[in-house]
Amino acid sequence: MTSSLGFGLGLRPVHYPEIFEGSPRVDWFEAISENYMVPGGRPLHALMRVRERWSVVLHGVSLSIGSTDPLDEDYLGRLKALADRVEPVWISDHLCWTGVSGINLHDLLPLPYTEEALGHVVERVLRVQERLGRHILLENVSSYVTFAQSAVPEWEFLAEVARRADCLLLLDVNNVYVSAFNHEFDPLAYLDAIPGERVRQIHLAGHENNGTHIIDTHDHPVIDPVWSLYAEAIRRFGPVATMIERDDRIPPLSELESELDRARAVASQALKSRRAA
Amino acid sequence: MRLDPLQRAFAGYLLDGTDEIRTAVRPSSKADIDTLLGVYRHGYSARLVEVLGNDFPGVKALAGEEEFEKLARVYVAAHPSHGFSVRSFGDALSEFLRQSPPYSEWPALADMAAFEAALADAFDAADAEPMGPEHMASLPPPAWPTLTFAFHPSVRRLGLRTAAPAAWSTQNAGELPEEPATQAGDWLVWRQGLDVKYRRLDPDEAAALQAAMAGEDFSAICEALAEHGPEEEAAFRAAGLIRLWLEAGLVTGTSHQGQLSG
Repeated sequence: MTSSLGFGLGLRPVHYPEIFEGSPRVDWFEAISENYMVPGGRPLHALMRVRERWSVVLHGVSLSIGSTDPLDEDYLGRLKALADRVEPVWISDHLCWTGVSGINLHDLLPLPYTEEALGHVVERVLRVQERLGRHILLENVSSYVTFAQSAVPEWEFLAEVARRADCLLLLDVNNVYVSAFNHEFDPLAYLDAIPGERVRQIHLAGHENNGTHIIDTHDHPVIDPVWSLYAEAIRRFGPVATMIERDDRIPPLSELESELDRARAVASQALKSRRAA
Repeated sequence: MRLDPLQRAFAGYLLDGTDEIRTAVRPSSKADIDTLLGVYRHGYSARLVEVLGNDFPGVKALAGEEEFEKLARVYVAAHPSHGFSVRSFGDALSEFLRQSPPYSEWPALADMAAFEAALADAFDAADAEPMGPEHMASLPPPAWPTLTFAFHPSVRRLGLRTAAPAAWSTQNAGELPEEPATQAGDWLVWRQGLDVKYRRLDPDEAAALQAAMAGEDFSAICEALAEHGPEEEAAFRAAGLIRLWLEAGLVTGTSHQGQLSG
């Protein structure tokens, strides 16, 4: 197992001045791949400046690994070119589909957890890994519906994809919490089913609770039950690289640094009880 | 339902409101199926409307919050995204506003969209090393008549019917823009270093730049200028413009018959 990167943040352009002019207490940054898959100019310039001082991982939102459309070779070529330039520690995307019939719906849409979908996703992950020349990380998404024909729960499906495609995992603890609330399952059962040796990264984020269901909005601080679930994840999987995602109502970097300090404290406490156990 | 028809049914629900997908969704004790599916449906259009608002703040400021939301929703419905990134989602907005009533009767809207798209294109266009004005001195006099120019990938010349860029600048300063004056003319948008710049082009410079960007040589650029001023001053004016373009970082290379440089 590779050593953990520590505690990172999602790289957001609004924070560039604080990042370049200060010394933020951030161990690494996660860049949204698509935002930097552009010909040139300021975005790539800024990313390479970040790269001079920090480790960077690339996180995509358009791989659409579960779509029945053919894999987008142009997209993969650009992603490979970006990776060759940035040399990220790893590349991740989501266990979902984002479009069909050539239309990008720009959302992380849920799959039915069937044998057909499993075979389809595994075959595509293998091809993507071949094309990129590296193992990728797949992330569990938040969902609001499940499908009647799903034969297994999401955690079994995710674990089986990882095993068969020999890929790695990005565990979004907030997404586990959100989906557990929406679909009334035990989030600990989800964690228990995850092959810990494949978990390379953890996402934390906030969300919006509408009472009947939770929407994954990434516009609030992480809530206490998600911190507890994060502690459970660290207890199970060890010192996994952890980061906080914020995509809306983005506060000053210093506020996210404080939230990251809390992640450090929660993880350190959880690791003590892991060693004690 | 197999995977492919399920995804098509889901997409049909998001794009057109067809309800075939309902039969594939497992009922939940938390909320009814339509509420849960509605999270996706609402999210789909809200996300893309927000993308347009972020990418076209000038159009939004001109149209006003309410009218913008309306036009953005019509655009979202008429132009599903085909790019891997939302970055290209608004590429057809200017054309849409130019052609679709009632917006087609409001030329400043389409102009503003075209101008903002040009700013965005210049922002992340490919990098290239510009030549400095000292390059002019290195050119032998016989080279000039056949001299052609390579422009930085960010350079855009656009013809507008209104003074939309002035309203953009007001909006960009955080103020409410006035309705742009009707004032047909050409504008230059480009990136110098990492900074996007723009300025109005005089008609003769617009003609010269159009010729030069089309790959025509110095002689042809002079002919284009001669249509806008005294013929005997055309070569002098052309040389002055080229110096200006070099100083602004617009030119990345020149070539002339018999030799390549830059």
